[in-house]
Amino acid sequence: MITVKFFGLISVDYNIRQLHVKEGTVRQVLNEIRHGCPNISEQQLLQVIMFINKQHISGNKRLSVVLKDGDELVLISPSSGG
Amino acid sequence: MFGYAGKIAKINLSSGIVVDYPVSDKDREMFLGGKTLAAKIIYDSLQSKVEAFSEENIIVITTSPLTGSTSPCSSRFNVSTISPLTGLLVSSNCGGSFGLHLRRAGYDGLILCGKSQAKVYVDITDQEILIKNAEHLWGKNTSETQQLLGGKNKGKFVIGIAGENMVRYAAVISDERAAGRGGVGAVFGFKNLKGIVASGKESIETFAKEDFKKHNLNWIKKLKSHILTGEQLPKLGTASLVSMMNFRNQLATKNYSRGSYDDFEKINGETLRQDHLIKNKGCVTCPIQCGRVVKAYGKEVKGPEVETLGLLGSNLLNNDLQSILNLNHLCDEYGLDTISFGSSVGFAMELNQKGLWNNGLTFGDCSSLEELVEKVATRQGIGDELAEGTKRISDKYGGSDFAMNVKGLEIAAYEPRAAQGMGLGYATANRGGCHLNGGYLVVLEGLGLDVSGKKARGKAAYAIFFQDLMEVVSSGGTCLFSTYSLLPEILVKNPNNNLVRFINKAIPSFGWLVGFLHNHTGLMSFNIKGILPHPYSIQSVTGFKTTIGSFIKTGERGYNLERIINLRQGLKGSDDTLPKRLTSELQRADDPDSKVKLQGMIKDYYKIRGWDEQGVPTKRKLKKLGLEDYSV
Repeated sequence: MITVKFFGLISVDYNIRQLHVKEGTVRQVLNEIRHGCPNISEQQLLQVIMFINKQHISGNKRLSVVLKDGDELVLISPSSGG
Repeated sequence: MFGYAGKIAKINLSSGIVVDYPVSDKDREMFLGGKTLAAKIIYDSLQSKVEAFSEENIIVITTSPLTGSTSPCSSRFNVSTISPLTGLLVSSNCGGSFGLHLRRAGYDGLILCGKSQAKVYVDITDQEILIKNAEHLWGKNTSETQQLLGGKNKGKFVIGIAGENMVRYAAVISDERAAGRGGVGAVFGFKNLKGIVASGKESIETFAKEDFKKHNLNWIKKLKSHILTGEQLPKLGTASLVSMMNFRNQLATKNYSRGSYDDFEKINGETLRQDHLIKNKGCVTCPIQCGRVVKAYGKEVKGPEVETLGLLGSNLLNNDLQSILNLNHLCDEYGLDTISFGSSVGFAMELNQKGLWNNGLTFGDCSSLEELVEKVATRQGIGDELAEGTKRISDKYGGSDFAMNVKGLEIAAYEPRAAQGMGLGYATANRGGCHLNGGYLVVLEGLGLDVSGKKARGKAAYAIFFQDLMEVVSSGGTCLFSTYSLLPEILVKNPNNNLVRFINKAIPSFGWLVGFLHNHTGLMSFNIKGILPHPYSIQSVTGFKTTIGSFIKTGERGYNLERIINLRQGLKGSDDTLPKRLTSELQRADDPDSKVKLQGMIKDYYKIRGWDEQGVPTKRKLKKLGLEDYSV
């Protein structure tokens, strides 16, 4: 299973901190999240910043990265300042 | 006169004599208010080096043309003095209501000089200033002192027990807001000054009333609709940053030996909101409301800022959020800066771990921290040594390479080995290791935008631009969050968009342009109200012709004047540095870029600033800023 963690506005707005989903590409995982949380739009999921096992991934190719059993995908809304 | 009450009082605490301090219209136009006007007053008043704890040192409290006006986020006021931590000029900014009440009492500012023999407080009512006995307030915490000083329609600015005991990082508190940095509270304590209370019914005239009102309504609308100020900060507060800082390796952890904390989810903004939030609470006139009221051990207390969560949490390996909330509350009550307190404790823990100081403090064992706050505030046991701050502790016990201060001021919770520009900012800030006075480039380097924090290229110009911008925004009297509309929403909201990714990559390449514009502010003799509303607001309230260019130039003038005061206080260019841990130790062994490449950035920084190789502003630069009569 993949652990998906949510931080920032996406976590607050959808009242979701963590999900467990099946292995697959990032795109497949995002689709599964949408299936489980239909209120989250595709656009919102595509806007978040992603980390896989604490490594930042960006660019169009990020959606093709394959997530394996035990991997952690972090979805975090952009932040600001303090 | 528009935008000002028109009077600054000079209060001699030794003699009890109060006089008006002359400020000309030209001074107001050149130095505006807040920290910049305070620097002008301190430059003129001190004339040579003074010690923080001496009768010659003065405290200058200044408001600004926008303080307490209808501009958004405009409750800010400033307090400046010579810092007992750094021996340099410190300016500390506060969002409490004291500033607006001081203006209602008929004053733009106060200069407190000399030293009272008795314990006193200053009472200002409708232009009448009285120095009153404060024996009954001594030994009281900050909330009780404020309660004893009067009701809702009064502004209070007081120290707690830490200030009385001259803890070098003692804060001064107004409402629940702190002028936290640099130990201004200790100078209050040295002068036997418990606090100031102000009230009155004076009103301040506005140059273009209708225009000002309309402009401010648009500004508020903009802040409310921006993702950062309309959603992120209201919903999560500044605590929202903890998670992103952790993933970006920018979260001070275990005395800055690391940039991420395994237990960050126990202390982040999301957990704070889910488990402790009662309601939002903001400063007066603020549409953002980033402040929090939270529950800790059954009590309603002020919620912590991100810096506090870092310094009292990850930096000490303290994963008990309830304990952090209570520590934050205790620090406010005793009147302590949470950043310097947390950093001093973290440093002491590492000294203990390395066998350099047997003090009983251990990372992760935070059961004694609440007691330690009291010990520091009352200077009991090891608290007496912790009360001196990291620099003086390292002078005694060693470990200067990992005593996390710059020029004596403890750095904030942003670990700069993953944010080069923030590292440069810490090294060069006039205040010492301050994130805000340093230009806060971390907002570009991963927190707001996605500019690489590993690269040093172009950062010097951006650091200078943002340092000067923050200088003048503070001088104008608004909170720094009011500048977030500068960050185009599309860049913040869509980090994965190809164009946005290209812009983030390209931003460092435009450092030369930012540096060029910074030195040719005349090219920005216009206003873009939707991006930077402040200059037009200043113009509307004061009648001073203000453009983006002249606004930035005022900030640059202030920054250079503060530098001159610091040089007069004995600052050397070689002090523009960081603890060796940040410049020599890799944060991550597998990443050769994970240290601050300071030397090259400093060279660029001096060059763009128009300073010589020793970091002294050149005569040419001073003349350009109208500071030709000011020298070290």
